[in-house]
Amino acid sequence: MFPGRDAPDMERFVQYILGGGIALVGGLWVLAGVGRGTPVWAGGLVAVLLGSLGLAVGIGTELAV
Amino acid sequence: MVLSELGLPAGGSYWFARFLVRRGLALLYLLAFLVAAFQFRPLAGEDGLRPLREYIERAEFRERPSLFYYVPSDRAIAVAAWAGVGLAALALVGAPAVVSAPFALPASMLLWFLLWALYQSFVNAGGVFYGYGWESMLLEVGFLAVFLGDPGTAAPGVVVWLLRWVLFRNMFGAGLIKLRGDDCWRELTCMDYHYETQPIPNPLSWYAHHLPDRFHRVETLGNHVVELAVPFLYFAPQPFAAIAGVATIAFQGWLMLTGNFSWLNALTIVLAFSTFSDGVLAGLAPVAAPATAAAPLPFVVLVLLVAALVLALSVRPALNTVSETQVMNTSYDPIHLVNTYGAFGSITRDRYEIVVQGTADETVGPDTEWRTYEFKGKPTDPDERPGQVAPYHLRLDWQLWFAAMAPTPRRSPWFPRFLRKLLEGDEATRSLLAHDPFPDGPPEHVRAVRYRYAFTSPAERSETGRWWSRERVGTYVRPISEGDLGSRRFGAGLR
Repeated sequence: MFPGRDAPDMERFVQYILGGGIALVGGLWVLAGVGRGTPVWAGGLVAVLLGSLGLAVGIGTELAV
Repeated sequence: MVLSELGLPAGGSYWFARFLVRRGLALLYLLAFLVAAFQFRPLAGEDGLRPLREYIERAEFRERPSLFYYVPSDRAIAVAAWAGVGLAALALVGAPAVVSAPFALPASMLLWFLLWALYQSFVNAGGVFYGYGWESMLLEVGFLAVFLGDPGTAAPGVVVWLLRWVLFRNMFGAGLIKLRGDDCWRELTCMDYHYETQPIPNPLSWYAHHLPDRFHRVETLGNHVVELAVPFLYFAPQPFAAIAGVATIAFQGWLMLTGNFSWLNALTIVLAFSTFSDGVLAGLAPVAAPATAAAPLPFVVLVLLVAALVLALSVRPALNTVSETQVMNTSYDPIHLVNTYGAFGSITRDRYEIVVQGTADETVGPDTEWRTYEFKGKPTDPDERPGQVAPYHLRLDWQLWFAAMAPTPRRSPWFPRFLRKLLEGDEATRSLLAHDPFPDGPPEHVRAVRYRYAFTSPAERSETGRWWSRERVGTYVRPISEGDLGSRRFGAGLR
């Protein structure tokens, strides 16, 4: 995600959270910006669902309960 | 679902957000300058616990710019602090609004710039007593506030989004440092300890500590959600951004109800106001933003340049935040433009307190009567209920919390000077205390004893009335007199 010398060592759970959060926000903007029922709208909905899942997985995998 | 069906715009104007951010920030500046007026001189002034000359000797101006580098005097400190109080009061009442149109924007920018520059001087010269994340955050937000325009012109949306970027780094950084920093955050048990061991508990901390374990598990999980998932929604269309802002305000409100964290929570709430667009607020309350003129072109260009600068300076802090070697509360430039944040990456399991005592006896023996100094915020008397001091900041009390974690003051080099000031009966230092047990003259000897404190159980409290139980765990500094000052024995007394 961050190529080059300064690329940080990012844990897997952070990758899930970052990817999920970005997908969630992107999906919400798509839903807000296009007409309901169109293919792009459906793509936005999928992004929202996958993004939410990514956030849940990212947080959930770190819990030890 | 199309958002317009809700009657809410996806984007929007930000007149109310600017109003709330500016007034809230002015109030916090006012507090911060009052703290400087009352505490800076005894802590970091000419003859403070960490004297101002140490700042000048240890740093170049370009590394830590401050007015006090060139004017290192208590008088300059007082003038700057009270000037800041006055300017913050002007900002709080919205003084730039009374300036006529052509001059309102430059007047507003000048006022907010002066506040930022003055406070910069205190933070950069304040040493360990100003080494808190919320100092850098106040400066970062204060810098952006310079470019929010005046009430007669449209609030620049770019700056509002930069405020959300600060909010995101603050919350997300705090969330990541927790999962990385301490097993109890992963096991959802940190809140079993937090209320008891936080720096300065407040009147409700005892009650929060005794809430059921299940509640602590749920609130710790809620902490992770609010700090790691919700922040992404600050950048979502409305009403999701505003909902995220409300969640953040509720979370910070709970922290304010149950602890004293200076103005950290209040400043985060002020930042969360940036998530509200005028359309959302108009949908919730019978309010309408006043009509505004378009911002002048030179101002728009300036705002875009500032945004480009902030984004460029954000690269290192952003990489730091997502890196597994994350460092919290760090500035990457000498004027704190873009910083990293975080809080309570690890939770202390035991609470230690330094109890400072003095005696009028010329010779110390087993029968010596020791009288205890009381502080304004930190627990000392087990019978006394913890007080509410936030959003005011008690800098000495906070440093004593850090100092008490170690069995000796070796890592707190200001502490011996503090004892010296007590032996001298120094008026400025005494002003930092709640109660000086030697009102008629300084003591002959002082000592510092280290205790472990724990909240009493409900049964113990109903029986004894005490809020704390404590046990002595060691001598922090053995008895010393004014004659010992500067001697080898004094140095030995610190170990």
